[in-house]
Amino acid sequence: MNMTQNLTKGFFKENPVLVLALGLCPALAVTTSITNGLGMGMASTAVLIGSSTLISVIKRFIPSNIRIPIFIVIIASFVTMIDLTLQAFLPELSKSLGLFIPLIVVNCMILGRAEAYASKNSVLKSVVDALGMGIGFTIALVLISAVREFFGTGALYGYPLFQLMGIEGFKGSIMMILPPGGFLTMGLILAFMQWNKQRKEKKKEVK
Amino acid sequence: MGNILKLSGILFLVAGIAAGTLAFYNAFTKPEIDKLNARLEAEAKQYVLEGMFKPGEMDDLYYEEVDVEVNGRQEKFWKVKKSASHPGYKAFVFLTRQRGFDGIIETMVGTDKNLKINRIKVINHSETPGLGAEVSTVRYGEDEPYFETWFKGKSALRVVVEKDDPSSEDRVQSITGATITTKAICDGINEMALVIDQFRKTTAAPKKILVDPKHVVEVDFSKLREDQEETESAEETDEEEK
Repeated sequence: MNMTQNLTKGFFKENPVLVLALGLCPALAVTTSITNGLGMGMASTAVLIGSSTLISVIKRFIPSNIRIPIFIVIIASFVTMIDLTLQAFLPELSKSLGLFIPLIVVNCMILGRAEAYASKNSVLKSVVDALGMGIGFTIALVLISAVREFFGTGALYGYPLFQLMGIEGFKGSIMMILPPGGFLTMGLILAFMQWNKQRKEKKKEVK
Repeated sequence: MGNILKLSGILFLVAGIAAGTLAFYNAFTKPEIDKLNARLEAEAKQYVLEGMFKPGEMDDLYYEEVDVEVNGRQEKFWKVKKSASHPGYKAFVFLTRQRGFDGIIETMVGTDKNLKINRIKVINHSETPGLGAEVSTVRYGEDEPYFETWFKGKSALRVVVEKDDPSSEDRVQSITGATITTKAICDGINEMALVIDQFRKTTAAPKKILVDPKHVVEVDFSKLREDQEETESAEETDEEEK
């Protein structure tokens, strides 16, 4: 597997949320608007890159039977640093993401990549993998939040599309912003990904 | 046994390094966070007072802080004067904290001397997007959150959700699907207004005040004051009126 493949595999083929089903909690909880989805995706990517790099560097010195607590300590430190940075320089985003930033610590995507990839591969490969996975996570979050924001409020990225086009009256369905909308959207997107995958496999078989 | 000690040692070392790094990073960001919070508070105060003073006066306003204990919580409000040397105060600013549907809602409120609301600003909340979060939603093409404009000109003492008292002059609509949020903000405003109102009426105001915003109860201030005076014999008097 070359570097490009290593980077892009996280985008769709092994997308952490849509295919590996990792990190579903933030993907459901914060995806009420594109702004939130994007912010969460970028914060998680920063933590993922930091922790994967560090874990890959010190993997030789980590005894295997206490690797999980060490991973968690490292991830928690990065999350705290990101949290403080957001509070100091991006207070608006920090406010709207609120509790979910500290919860990146228990995002299984980050621990999952540390365990499955960074602790077994070289530093460069781990950084590329983390970047790819982070971008994939962000893509998934933005996708889900775009659907929810559009059907929930009739807006995209804060711009009320319908009103701008001169169509009054569509205010969106609140349910899409609330948790049920999150489950529905994610279920439908996951189902579509699977359907697409199976269709491609069938085509291959026919050939 | 030796192995366990070794593993504990490594874990201890890792945790120690992590703690050290974070302590260093915290020292680096804390001044920034404090500065930012102070700036946001100052901006919120000016925002809620807008229109009550001439534009040129806004930067010189003097905020006299009054600390009170309300139902066991430490709260504060500010008496606003044109300048530090100006004799009379013209407005009140206060911050209310009230439990909403999902966590604490912090609202900055600016009122005139008779506790008529000039403007409010919800500065912190964690309400449901699409429902309670509407309190700070600015509609496309408008300058300020539509919810906050409903409070203009209402009495801070009596502001009430329309559902509770449809005939009141000081009623505000509740946000669709978020009556709890609206009610929490009204209750918070009522509570602090009641405190300030009591404060206005007494010359030597007690610092400890108990109020129940849901049922406006008579507070036995003379007794409170006696209690207060026993502990603090020399209570400073306020000479701000007129």
